Amino acid sequence: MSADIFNTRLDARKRAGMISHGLFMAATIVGIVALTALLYTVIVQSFGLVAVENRVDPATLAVNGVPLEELSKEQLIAILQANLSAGVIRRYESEQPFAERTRENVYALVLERVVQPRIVESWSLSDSLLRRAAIQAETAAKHPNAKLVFRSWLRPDFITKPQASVPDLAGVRTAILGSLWTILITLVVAFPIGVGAAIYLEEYARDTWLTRAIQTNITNLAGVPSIIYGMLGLAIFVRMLEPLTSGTLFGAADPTTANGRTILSAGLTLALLILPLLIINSQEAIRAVPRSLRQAAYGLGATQWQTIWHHVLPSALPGILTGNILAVSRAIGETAPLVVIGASTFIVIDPNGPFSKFTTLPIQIYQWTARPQPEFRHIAAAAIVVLLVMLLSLNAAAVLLRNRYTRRW
Amino acid sequence: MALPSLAIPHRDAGDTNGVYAIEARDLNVYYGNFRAVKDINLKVHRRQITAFIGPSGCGKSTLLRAFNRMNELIPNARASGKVLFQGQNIYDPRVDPVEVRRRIGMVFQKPNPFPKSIYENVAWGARINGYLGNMDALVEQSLRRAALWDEVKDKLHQSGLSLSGGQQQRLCIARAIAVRPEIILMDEPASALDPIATLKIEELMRELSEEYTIIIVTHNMQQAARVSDFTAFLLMDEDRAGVLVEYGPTRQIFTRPKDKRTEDYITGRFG
Amino acid sequence: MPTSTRAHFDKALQRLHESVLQLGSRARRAVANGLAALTDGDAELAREVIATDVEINRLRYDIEFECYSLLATEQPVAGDMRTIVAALTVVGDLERIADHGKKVARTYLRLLTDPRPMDLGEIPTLGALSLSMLDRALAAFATHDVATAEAVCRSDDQADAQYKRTFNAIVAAMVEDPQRISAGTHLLQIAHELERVADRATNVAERVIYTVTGELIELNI
Repeated sequence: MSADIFNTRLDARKRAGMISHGLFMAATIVGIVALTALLYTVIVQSFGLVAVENRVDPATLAVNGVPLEELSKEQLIAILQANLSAGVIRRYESEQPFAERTRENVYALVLERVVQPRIVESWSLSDSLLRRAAIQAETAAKHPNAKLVFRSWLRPDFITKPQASVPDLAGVRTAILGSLWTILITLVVAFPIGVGAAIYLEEYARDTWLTRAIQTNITNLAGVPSIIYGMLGLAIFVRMLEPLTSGTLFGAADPTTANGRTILSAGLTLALLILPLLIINSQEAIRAVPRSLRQAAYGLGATQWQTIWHHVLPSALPGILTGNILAVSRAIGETAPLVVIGASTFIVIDPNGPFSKFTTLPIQIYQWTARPQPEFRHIAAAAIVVLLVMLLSLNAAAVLLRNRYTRRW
Repeated sequence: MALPSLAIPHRDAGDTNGVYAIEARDLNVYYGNFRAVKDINLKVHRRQITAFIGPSGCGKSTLLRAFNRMNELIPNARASGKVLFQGQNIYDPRVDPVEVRRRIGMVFQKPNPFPKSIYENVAWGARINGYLGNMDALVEQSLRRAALWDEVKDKLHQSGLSLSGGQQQRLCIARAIAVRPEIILMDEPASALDPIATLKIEELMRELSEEYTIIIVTHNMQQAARVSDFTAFLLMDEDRAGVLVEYGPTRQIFTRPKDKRTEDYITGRFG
Repeated sequence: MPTSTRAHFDKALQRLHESVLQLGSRARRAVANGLAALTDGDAELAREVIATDVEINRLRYDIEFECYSLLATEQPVAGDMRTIVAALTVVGDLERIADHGKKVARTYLRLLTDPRPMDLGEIPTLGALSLSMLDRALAAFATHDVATAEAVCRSDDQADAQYKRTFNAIVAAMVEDPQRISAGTHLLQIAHELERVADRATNVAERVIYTVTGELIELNI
């Protein structure tokens, strides 16, 4: 019997497989748990009860029995003039004459400057749901004048309003715009350079010690901590190339800044940061194009450029995009290098071009989480949700674009 | 410095006395320091099918690719000696390999259509070479000559990759003849195909040989016997370099080879 | 035999070779026994020759079938192809040679009934010559011996000359005594069969040359 010469140990072999199976599943579960925990903490902080206390009770501002919210624009202006100093009124007048302001705008000013609702205490979503009675008792005891309301920190206002010093009024519009501008510049700069370098290295460069040295360096650069790129950006873009990055060279400098700490510097720094990854990813994609495709083109009398442009690049593009989505996602989330090159943390004016001062979402989040007031924790959490949604939608857009391209054949 | 390019002369329309389409003289091909084929002297008959046979690694593919400078796509490959085509040495530094490859086309082992439409597969080569004629007519004519027209005429704008393996290979042949080559090199064109598709390709080669010179590398000796007019047998020498052992009419090679090594190889006694 | 990557096929070719040689030796025995029956007056032997022809024919068809199978399944080329194709024609020749032996035996049996027998004259000499050519052709076939095969082809002229002598002697005897025309005709028939044996032995030798050299030339002019 041939069976005698095989000690099949089938049970032992299967057992070994089952152990691995279990370990891999455990690893996956750990990952899922970690992700769920992250989402949980963010969501829990984004919603919850708040105790609001008004400095001036809106009821006392009623005119002839008409409640505040139904007053006309003129009446609201009168309230403002009665409650605020002449200097403050002049400042608002110079920003935009009251005559041109809408009623809603004036109403908002009244709320902000006169009523001054103030959040005196806030709770997380889990507490709000599970300990509602306790919270009510606590509020009644500590803040007799406060009203307990359910507050979604993540609301349309939050996205459309600029940064403000009061967490209740702060929004992320400037940060979102700053992030979008930065990433746009990063893409515009890094994509052609990265793909170009990859094409050169894969298709043109001869295999010499120099090419190999460059290749090794690119691989190593991909592993350099991002803060180092921040230092590099500070030295080169912010300082050395200040006339260029501040825009003075083109006479387009933002008069309020006129230094190199601009969106352009940030975009260029992030471009440098993701360039090695981009080159490596693009190289992989180009290398994955079968040699047979190139040979087919050459065999028909195509030049190298025709072969690359008509066949190699279109075939590699889905792969290049896939790889680069990851690199760009990394850039969107980068904080450290931007802090180094001097992103502003408090900006209320929308960035309007590459030479603007800027902040970005991650920096905003970083800054808010550093604040002691608990309310900032909530808006930081809401901003994190906004950042995640932005990342996911940018990725989804890129993936859709790629699939559309791939599906052509 | 680029040398002034040297055009390869075109055959006069009425020229019938050119018996040979291409000729290797003392041709050696090296990969780095390794000599892959050694001192090849071979005259390929015009409008005939010549088969290169021999064991794996004997350099037959290398020799084939030396006929349209395809080896140059491999780093460190170089050739010495001459390959005469229309009286011109294609390895002359003034000759542009791009021109050589249009005049001497190639069909590969694995069908490799472009990931484009059937129409584009055929039209692309002509377009990049600056074809001035009617493209639709060229596509139809090329597909007809490749015996594929009837199968694809209703789906010219579908992907070339949607075809079966045999159809893909015929598409590659159509693509090759669309740029009007004078010689078609085929590197094991049927080795990835089933027997029926293989026979179709062989039949097609027979038809094409009325107009084109065809050189085919094949592992399948029966295929060489069936399809070719001339057979060249290559073998590795003691330095593992490919040498031409015997070259002659296929009928002679397969009934009474002169060299014992040829006989051993074609009868399957290759040790 | 070179170290073969086709051991199975080589064995089949070896078996084929041996079968052809076996057919050769049986065909030779048919001719030799037919001739012996004639010279020794052994009617029993003659009947045996006639009876064994069926087996010889069957052997020939068996070998032929084997050749077709090898052609169809092994796709032989070059030397292998020549070996098999030569075997195909050689077994045809050998079967015919056995037929000639059978006809000698049958004609002898007819002679027995003839009231006016006649002297065999040169016929034993012709028979010995044909048999010796057949022997040498078979030896050449067995050992792929081109030199012997060429010698066989050359001696065909000798056989022709001997046949002519034999023929003339019989015809002269018939002219001398018209009573012997019947017996003489039978003897002419026998001489003719023996001459055909020599011819076919030459064919066999030619196939030996073809198998070995691949040259297809008629040496038997």
